[in-house]
Amino acid sequence: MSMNVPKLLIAGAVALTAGVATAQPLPVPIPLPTPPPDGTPPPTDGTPPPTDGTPTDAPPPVDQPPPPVDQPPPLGAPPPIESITEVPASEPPPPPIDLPELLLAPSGAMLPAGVIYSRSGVDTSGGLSSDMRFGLGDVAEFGVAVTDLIRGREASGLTPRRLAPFYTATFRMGLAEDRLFRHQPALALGFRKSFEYEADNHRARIAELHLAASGHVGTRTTVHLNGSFWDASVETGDEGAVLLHDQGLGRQFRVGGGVAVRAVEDADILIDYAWMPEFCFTCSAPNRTRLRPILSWGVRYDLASWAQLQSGVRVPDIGDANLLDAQIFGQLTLINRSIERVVDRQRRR
Amino acid sequence: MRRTVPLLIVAALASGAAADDGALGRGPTVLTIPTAWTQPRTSLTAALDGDHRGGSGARITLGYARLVEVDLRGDGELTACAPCAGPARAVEPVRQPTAGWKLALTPWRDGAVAAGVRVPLGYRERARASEAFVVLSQRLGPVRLHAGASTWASAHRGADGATVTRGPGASVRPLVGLEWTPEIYPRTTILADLQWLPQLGPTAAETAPRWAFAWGVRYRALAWSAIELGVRHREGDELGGATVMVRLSAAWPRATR
Repeated sequence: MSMNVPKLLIAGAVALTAGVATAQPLPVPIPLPTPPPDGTPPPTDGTPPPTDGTPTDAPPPVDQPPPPVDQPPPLGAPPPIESITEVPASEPPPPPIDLPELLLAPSGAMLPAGVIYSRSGVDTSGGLSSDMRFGLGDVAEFGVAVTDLIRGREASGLTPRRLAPFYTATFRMGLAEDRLFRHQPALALGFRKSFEYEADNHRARIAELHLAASGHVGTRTTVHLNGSFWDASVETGDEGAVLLHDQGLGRQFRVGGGVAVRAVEDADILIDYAWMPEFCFTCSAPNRTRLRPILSWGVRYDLASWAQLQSGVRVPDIGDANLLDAQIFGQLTLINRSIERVVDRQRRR
Repeated sequence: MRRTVPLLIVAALASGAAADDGALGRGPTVLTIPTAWTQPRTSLTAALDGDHRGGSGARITLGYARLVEVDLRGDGELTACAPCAGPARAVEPVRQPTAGWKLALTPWRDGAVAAGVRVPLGYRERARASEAFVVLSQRLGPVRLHAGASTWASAHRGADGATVTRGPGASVRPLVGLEWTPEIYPRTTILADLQWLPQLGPTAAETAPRWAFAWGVRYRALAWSAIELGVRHREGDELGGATVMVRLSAAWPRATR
């Protein structure tokens, strides 16, 4: 009995397959076009050529009824092609953008022409920051930002507090990687200048000129290096402005940089080292403005081609290595490429 | 008898994984110490806890990019004592909201290494503490082992009104943890961990890290939720001074069983 079950199953499967096969419509033979003896080419409309030797361009007999127009095609025949429309090839997705900054340090990459970039962030000390930039002609970018990283203290020894909102404007121009020669890093020369910050009878301004270089090392790593030249102005009450550039070049020039490593297919681990001025409003002139190093590390995650989520840790004054000052931050980066696409389409026309 | 114990240990380790990990199986903490796990996909985990002394806490954790966990937490893990010794010793929890950030890598199979920080939210002049840690987690069959080190920095107002600060260099201490999911109870995990936490005293000399040992059980009743029952002992407490705690956790998206 147990041996009969497989046989029955096989027989049933064969019968079922045969039933399905016989239910299919019979194939309609399609005659192959054969060249007439006079050498004229066969018709291309699918009609079989005459086999009795009549010329193909002869008019049809008058006594035969014209073929019905809306007769359905025979079973098995391929459906008629009514019209062939050219399907435009889908546009390839634009290449990913190298962003103009790491976590804090500037990079050598420029925004492509027409790309709008914005980054908004919040941190555990209650700071809010925002940065918006616009790419100009693949060689320049312009942006405005509000930063929460500039701090000031009333006197030496007191706890510094955040000077916010501190508005800045940025203009950068540069050159893409490998543009002049192979292994040439991306280069950017940028200038950032603040609007005047005024609070509690204090006024402060900053300016920064930086030259940044970025290069890919292998397929997963990007190395960034920059040199920045700072200036600042601090005024308290009616006394004159105390300027950083009066303190000598050694107090104005700093080197920073960072590394980005693509750890998984959609996320980078970032480490960067940057500088920010800190003010002391009642200190002596040489100590009125000091540049403080900031160490940041974090992860940038590609949510979509137009959105990235970043979070990480920064230590505002790594020189002190004070764990209590460490901040955890979160940032959302949005990239709008609509204008870039419109400009590309117009150029193609 | 000599051979029986090693054989039992080897058998336990070789008996394989017990249940689907899910967000709660690879949770951000054992009971109190951080693990090196991160979630295999973007997920949100929330936990509420309470203890028999009326303490409570809450935590919400976002894991993303398979590399990072960010959390917001409010609890009474940090404690202050005044006086800190003798029969009149009194210890009270210092409530502070904190944020945590952890970066984890999985360089080898069934193992992970993570580093992170925990910092106070906002500026608190009365008392605040930050933590940095490194932890390594390894899964060996039904057992998960965790080991690492943590350090703390703290600042609080002392008895004389001056600020007492303690830097991270003087507070490096080990942390260890164990999770065991028996094969016969695939939804139940036995937990134990040990770490050192700062205790803020009225003077700098009395401000020091103290050990805290916790043990308990996690029961994953549903694919998306778990309940933990535990007991915590702190250095200097008598046996009756232990704290019994309960924690309810939920994860989204839920794990697949």
